[in-house]
Amino acid sequence: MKRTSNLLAGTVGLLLAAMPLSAWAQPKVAITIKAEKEVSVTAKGKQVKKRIAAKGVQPGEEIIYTLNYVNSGTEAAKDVVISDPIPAGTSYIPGSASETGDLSFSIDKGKTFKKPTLLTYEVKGSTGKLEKKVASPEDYTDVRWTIPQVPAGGKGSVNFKVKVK
Amino acid sequence: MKRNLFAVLALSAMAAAAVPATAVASTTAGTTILNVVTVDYKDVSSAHTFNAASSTTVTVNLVKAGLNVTTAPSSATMPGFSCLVTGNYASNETFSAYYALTATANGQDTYQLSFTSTANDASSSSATYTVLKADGSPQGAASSLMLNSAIVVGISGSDTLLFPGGSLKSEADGGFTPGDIVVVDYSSSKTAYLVDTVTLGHAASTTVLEARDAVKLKMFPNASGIGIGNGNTAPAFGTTQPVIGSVMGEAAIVRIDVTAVPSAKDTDATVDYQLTATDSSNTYTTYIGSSSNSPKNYCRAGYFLATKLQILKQVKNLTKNQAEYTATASSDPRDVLEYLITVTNGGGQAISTAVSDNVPTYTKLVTFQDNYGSGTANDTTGFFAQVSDSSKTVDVKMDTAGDSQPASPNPSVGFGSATGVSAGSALHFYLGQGSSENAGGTVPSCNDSGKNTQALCVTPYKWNSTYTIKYRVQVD
Repeated sequence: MKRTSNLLAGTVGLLLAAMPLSAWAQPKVAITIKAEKEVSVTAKGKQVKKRIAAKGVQPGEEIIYTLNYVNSGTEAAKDVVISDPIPAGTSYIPGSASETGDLSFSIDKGKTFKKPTLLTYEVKGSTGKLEKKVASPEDYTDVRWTIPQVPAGGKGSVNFKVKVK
Repeated sequence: MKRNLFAVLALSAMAAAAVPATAVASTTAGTTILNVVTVDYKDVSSAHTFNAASSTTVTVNLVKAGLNVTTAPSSATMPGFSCLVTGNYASNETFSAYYALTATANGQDTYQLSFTSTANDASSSSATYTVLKADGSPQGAASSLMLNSAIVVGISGSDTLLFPGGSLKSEADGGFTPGDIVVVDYSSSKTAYLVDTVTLGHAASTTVLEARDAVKLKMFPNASGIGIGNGNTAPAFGTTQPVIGSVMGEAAIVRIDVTAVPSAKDTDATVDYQLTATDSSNTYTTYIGSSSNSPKNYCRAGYFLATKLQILKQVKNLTKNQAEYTATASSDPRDVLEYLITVTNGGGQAISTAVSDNVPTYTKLVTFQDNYGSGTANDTTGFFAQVSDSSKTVDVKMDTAGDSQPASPNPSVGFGSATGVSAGSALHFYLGQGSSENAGGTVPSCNDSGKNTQALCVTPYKWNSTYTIKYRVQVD
């Protein structure tokens, strides 16, 4: 009897211990964004570039956006999609987005995303016929990174630059 | 290849960052650049979807720039700059010229104004500037000028331009105000309008959408020689749109007033003037003044004419029927001689123009009862001379009363008097507009007294610069 009782108690204990794991384990991805700009400073008689927080910028200057993500959950996050519209009043600087995961862009305000070479639109040519044009980086409206998996406790960052119009 | 391409792009980006644009900003100062990033993800079972977001804002700074200097607008198209045409002005007359100073920065800035002038061949001179309101009335002396400018991001209806929400200053902070003059860029031309109303919106945030700032415009009517007066140049953005990304700059109208008195006969006075406008960083300076002028970056006001008065006395023997007036003539006793005095002023207007003469020795002044050259003698109140301004002629009497002048509005031609008819008696003649029985007037003058400057005295009016006086004597 005693043995049986101990077995039951052990089974219940295992069940209780397992229940929180299966019910609460989930990913929890947080993202933060940081805007910086590069300035030239003189250090030890040499001019070096330094990044500072971009609170105020002048037209023509570049803003470097860094997007930090971290999965503080207890389970891996799948199909992590980081989407960032190119801010109004700026234009994307070609080649500035970090090549993390699957990088794609949109020219239709986030309705569709494609690789740059596949981003095309049609315009009427001089003959009146529709001609296909590859979008230029100035036409990009959104940037998106798709990361297959961020493990629990995992973190990373992506970044891109824009130029203030 | 790909690596190399990125290297080139990176270098390009660095070069761009090293040389930020200055006067080509296309975002209004004060614009809030909002960036909202989202992350979407699933759990391992793909059964549940989650998301999170974060945002940051950056504010666009002022990019200072110099003012655009032009002549004041008087038609639908904003003019370019040139020193306004020099002309001829009477001594101490005022030369006035209107110019426009238009902001080209991406936001509000304060500009310092300074004014200098240099007078040449003048005994005295004055040069001032006045900042004018849109109706031509003075704003008062201003050594600094706060002007707004902003970058157009959209158009609403036929008369309203849109700007980033929250970027424009409020009226209390000196922002665009109803009645301000603004210049709108149509790419190939620019047009000045007046601000009708200003509606301030707000920037976007994570919880609200952007509401753009809006400035409604209206026609800039003609007032005091500035503005657009043809009545059909109200904004029509539905038909012709301003350039998106161009500057809508506030303009100030400046009137320059210059006057001078020539210091010497026969030499006209001139005045060179310059208004300097500098932005608040003391980096960009523009001038009301031409770089091709000497002195450089100055404009020359008109010529303030020195008087160039000449007088000529001639005679002819009427008894001998001499045909022309000559410098000398021969005479027998009892012959009647007629003297002709010609006063010419090809320069600036002379005031108080008076001619004094005497009855020549061994002669007696000839007088007439009815008019000059007719009627029996009357040596106390009779007519003794004739004065002409080339347009009208008047006969003048011995005494200081009764010299009839042409009817109003014609100016007076001249007056005269003689102290007697015997040799040596003084003869006085008072010539020109505004002359009287005992004081000289202005020579030259217009044959319409309402046109008191040569610039105003145009066809069909005549600028009379030659006056003649005739009188007769009989040789003893």
